[in-house]
Amino acid sequence: MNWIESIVLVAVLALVAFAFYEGFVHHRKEPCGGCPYAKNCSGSCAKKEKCEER
Amino acid sequence: MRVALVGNQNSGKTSLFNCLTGSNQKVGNWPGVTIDRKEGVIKGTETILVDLPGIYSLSPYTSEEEVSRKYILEENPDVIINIVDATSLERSLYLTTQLLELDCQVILALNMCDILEKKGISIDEKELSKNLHMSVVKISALKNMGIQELINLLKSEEILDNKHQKIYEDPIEKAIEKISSQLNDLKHKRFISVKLLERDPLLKDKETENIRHDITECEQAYQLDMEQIIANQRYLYIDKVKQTCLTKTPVPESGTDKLDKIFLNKWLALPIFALIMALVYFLAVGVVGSYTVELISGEGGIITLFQNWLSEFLISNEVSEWLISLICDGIIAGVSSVLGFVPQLIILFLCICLLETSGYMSRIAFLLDKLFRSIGLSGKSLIPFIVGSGCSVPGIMTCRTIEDETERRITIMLTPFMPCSAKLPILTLFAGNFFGEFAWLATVFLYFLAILTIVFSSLVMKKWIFTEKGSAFISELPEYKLPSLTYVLRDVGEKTFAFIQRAGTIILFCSVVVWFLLSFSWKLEYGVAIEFSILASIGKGLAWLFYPMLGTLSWGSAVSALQGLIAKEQVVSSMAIIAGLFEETADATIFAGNGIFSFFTPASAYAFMVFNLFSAPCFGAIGAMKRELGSVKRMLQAVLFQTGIAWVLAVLIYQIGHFLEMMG
Repeated sequence: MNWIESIVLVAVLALVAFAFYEGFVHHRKEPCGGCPYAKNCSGSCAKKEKCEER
Repeated sequence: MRVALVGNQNSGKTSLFNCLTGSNQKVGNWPGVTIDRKEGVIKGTETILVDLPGIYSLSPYTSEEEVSRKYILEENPDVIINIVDATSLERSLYLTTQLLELDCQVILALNMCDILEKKGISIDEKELSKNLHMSVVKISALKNMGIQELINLLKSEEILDNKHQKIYEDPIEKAIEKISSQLNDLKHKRFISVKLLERDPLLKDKETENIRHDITECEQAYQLDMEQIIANQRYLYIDKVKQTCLTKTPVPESGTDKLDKIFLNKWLALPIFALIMALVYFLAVGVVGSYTVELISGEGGIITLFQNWLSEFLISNEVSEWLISLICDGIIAGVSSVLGFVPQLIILFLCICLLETSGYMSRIAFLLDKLFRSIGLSGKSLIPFIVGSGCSVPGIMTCRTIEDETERRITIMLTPFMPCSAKLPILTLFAGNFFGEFAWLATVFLYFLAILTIVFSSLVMKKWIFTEKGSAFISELPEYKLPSLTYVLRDVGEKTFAFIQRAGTIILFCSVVVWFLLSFSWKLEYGVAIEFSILASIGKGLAWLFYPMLGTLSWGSAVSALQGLIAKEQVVSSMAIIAGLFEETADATIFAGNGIFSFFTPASAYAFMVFNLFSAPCFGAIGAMKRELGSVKRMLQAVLFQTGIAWVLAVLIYQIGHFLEMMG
């Protein structure tokens, strides 16, 4: 394995890991995971129990 | 200090919230934009401002009313800013009369004062303040007028105390006093007393025999239902207040009135709506789509050139064959097949945003109210459908504005039928390849097919599943507005960015998984013929389900359609990767020559489009359905119903289309 191949492989792995984290993990950790109104939301609707009440 | 922002739907609450806090919450020229509360800090202060959903009263008829009422009664804000549309004071003050019954300071913010003169309306705010005994500020959230005065008033703490004006006739006032005296340590005694008289379902536990007796006495005296008596007397009081502080002079017909004569004309309204929607798809799919997809991801397109260059670069540097295949045939092929549709989506987002913010979409809701009511829905259901044409998730969440439970459930189940932005790549790909210059017509027909399917499905559900009566659509028609350029650009920008973000995350990751499943066999041998790959064997197990709508056993189409559950764009991405690996040529297009998808005919292509349009939405939307329907069972019913309808429609379309193809 030459050095270019090593760099490409690392870059691809990093990209795939980033895509997985951002696409499937990150937004679920955010308040109101997946809620389109969560952006800029600093309110208590961010709390899990409040979301469940809805 | 906590301040709550309370007002009718479409009174400008979110615009005022944005003005006061400097945030960028979504605003819209239709009722029901805010479906949950939002918080922010008022600029230059430490005061927390809470934006509550739009309500017409504090009776718990809708979930927004429940959210607002619960917040006001349980979390006791220090001050309430009651934002009212100054151009329709009478309707707006109905909520004010209820807020005046609370033990809390209330500021009346008369919004839209910038257009009062144009409408020939003059409001004496000092007189209004004296009458209601509350602080009144004239503002325009849109023009940023009077906002500083409002902040100064909040800072000064010179807000008039709520004096609990006596607005009802003596028998009612006596009953209120009597109930109040029994509610010892409670806050908002007057409010609760009135609500008890109104037989408020949420206060059932506080109802006593004495109260029931008082209600019966009043009802016998007035020969009306108690809720009606209270509402009538509130309106009488509002009328009295209005006479002292509001003057109206006749003005020439407004632009909105003139436009409504055309857009709401009995005969022209529906054809105009059809024409507008046709124009939207003609612009997005016909004009822009005809060359941008080629320019971006076609044979000589930017992405294909980059893919070829990268492939040659990696080959010349002796990078392993599998890694080159992963990058070029997997990641780039998968992501670019979706990114190619960005220009069309920008046009679609722009058109929908202009229609929404101008006030036209509210007219459509009004227009279709009668038709929708005849099938068990109402114009209110149309708002989720409109929002759902961007993305089903917020569309499904907007269903909270519907108070009738049956109607709400039906709307939740039917909202994913609208062609959302993620489905557009599927529609455009097939329409562009099989219907040439009529591609836009094929997509606009699908839009109307979606409406017809909603109507038909609603009738079916109403007849056999839900049998309760529907609700009436109570909403006002907003003024036509010239959309703000900043807002339109921000809205289109945010939606486009979200689409690109999905392509760079979910679609990219799925492309790698699809490439892996296509490049390896169950024994994990790399480089096996695609027919012996893991994905092919899964697809072969499902292909028979698609046979009646495709006329052939296509494992590639089956697994691609299945991936629509992750994200609808993934259908296109998966087909691009499968076609690329099958053809083994760099410039292979999805439906090329002897490729794996070359069997598609216009009939099977249209059937496959229809199946993907109406079948179960992506997991995000399924999750939203589960939350809003409140149970896994109902969510599964919805998913099965949607997929069933999609399958039947697709099969019908293929069989009819195939018959026509055979005939001529």
